[in-house]
Amino acid sequence: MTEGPSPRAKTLQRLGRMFVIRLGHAVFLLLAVTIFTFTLLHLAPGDAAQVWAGAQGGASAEQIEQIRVEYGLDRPFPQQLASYVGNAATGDFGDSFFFRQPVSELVLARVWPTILLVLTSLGIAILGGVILGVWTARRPTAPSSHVITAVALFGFSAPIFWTGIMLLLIFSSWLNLLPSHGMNSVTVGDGFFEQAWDTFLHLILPASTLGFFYMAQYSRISRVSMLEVLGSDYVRTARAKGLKERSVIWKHALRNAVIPVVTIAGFQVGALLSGGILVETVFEWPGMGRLAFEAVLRRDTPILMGMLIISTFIVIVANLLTDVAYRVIDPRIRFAKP
Amino acid sequence: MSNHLLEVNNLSVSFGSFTAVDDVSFHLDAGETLAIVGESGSGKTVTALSIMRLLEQSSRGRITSGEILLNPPNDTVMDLADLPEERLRQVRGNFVSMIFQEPLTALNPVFSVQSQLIEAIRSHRPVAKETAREMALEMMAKVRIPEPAERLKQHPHELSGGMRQRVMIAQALALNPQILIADEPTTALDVTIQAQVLGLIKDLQEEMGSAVIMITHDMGVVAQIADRVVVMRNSKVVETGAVEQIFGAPEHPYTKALLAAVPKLGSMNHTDKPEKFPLVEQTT
Repeated sequence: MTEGPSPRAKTLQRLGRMFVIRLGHAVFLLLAVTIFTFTLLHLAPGDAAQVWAGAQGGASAEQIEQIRVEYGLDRPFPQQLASYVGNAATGDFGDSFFFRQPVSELVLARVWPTILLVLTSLGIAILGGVILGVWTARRPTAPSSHVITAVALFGFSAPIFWTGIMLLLIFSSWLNLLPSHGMNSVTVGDGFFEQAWDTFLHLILPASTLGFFYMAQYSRISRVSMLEVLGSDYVRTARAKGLKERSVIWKHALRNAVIPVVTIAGFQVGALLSGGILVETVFEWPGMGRLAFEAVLRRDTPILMGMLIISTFIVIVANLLTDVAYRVIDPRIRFAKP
Repeated sequence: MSNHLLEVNNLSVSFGSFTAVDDVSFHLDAGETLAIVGESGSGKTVTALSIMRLLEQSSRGRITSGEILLNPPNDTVMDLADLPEERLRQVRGNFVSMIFQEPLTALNPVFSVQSQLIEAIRSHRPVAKETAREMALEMMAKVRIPEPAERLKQHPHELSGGMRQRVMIAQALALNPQILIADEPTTALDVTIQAQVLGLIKDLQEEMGSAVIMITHDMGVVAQIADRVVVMRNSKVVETGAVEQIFGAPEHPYTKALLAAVPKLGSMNHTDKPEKFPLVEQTT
């Protein structure tokens, strides 16, 4: 009898196969999003060259034509699309009409602040939501649970920009505890830790605004999921074998209850990116959201396209990480064929 | 208190205004097998869960009166009905263990068999992980699981129902408890596996000297495994006695009806179709 590969090797093999399949999906999806959005932007009424010329204080017909030629807008649509896709594949998303700089440079400079904001918000939302969900599931009829549910619903019902403005008023204007806008103070020194601490202080309000909004959802999902799991046979077994209640709840029950939370988290990265636009605008956070917002107003299509492709890429990566997280949490999925 | 290992006196359990167990008393001696029999809803499982005090968190049941006295050798008598949570935790799995009806859902699906067994051992014994693993491996062999080292690394969904119940038994008996409560451990298994699991419980009981409380509705199981029988109906105990007495000369009409309901091999000879067995009036 020959020995087969060890379980660990099999798991790695399956993960490898999953990565390859997902990579194929990702390339296809990015291509589809690129073609679709390029077509949509092309079909939108108005002429980018005219809008841009208007923004510069007006231009003659010859100058507008020159802009068209310069940006390749005079070529037939299929040719424009093919050349855009070809360039995008090499990381060249063209130049911004407004900034006259490569889009990749503009977007790359703003993608990290956005990722920092989104990940911190997601962390606040998941951590806070799960803790509140577990708390309310363990004491479903306690007054504290009703208060948490009410506050969570309020947090979810209030518009993000309103919550942001309220937090600004309270913590920045009245209490003067936290900075009100931007990502770094002008007066901050050069030291790494000094800068990191300054960024952290600037991050608290925008990340909390975005995080609180989604925390409400996570607390509701975790509560329902936890209630179901707490009634399961294996939780009874865990108690019957004399485990500490802390271990029953936070190990045996939570690992099962957290699966729906992971699902939602994967989906929500996209929503967080768009929710980030409002927060970045309120707090003047120098991220992609604000750039996108201004690009829409300026009809700066190369920036919009670049942002959409990078956002799609971020969402794809988030979903891939969700898949990996599933497999880490639940062995039944780990051993399933991708 | 007398020398019984476990003595349940006048136990009543309620779920809100509903009384699920009403003034139930019985005892269990060291090394013996007590069967609690009765139909669905008679209160037998609630009685078992009350002994483990597993009702409060999972289903909001409450012990309203009575006492559950555990008298472990070399230890003081304790009333499980009134024991603080931390002390109760030390009793569960250590002095009194329990296995359940549904082996498919009783093990946590996201942890390996090994981690669940090791955790059960280390929550009561201050041993190193490796020692606990060796103890787990020994128990897996004891419950006659083939290739125990391989099985130990697997997750519950990779095992069959009978195998999972064996793992549950291994987990329950890992610390050599004085009492094993088996709540219909064979109901969810097919007939051949049922016989194997019952035989295993019986063998391990003899080997390890534990007392067993077997909850069942199957008189065949009772005959095969029990020393004494408690018959329950409508939340109350209707009859208690040695297994020979219950089978030989049942006193209560309900016990007689339960025994009459057991199909007998050859009883349908010379009949065209199965005959209905006598029902017991609800008032008896």
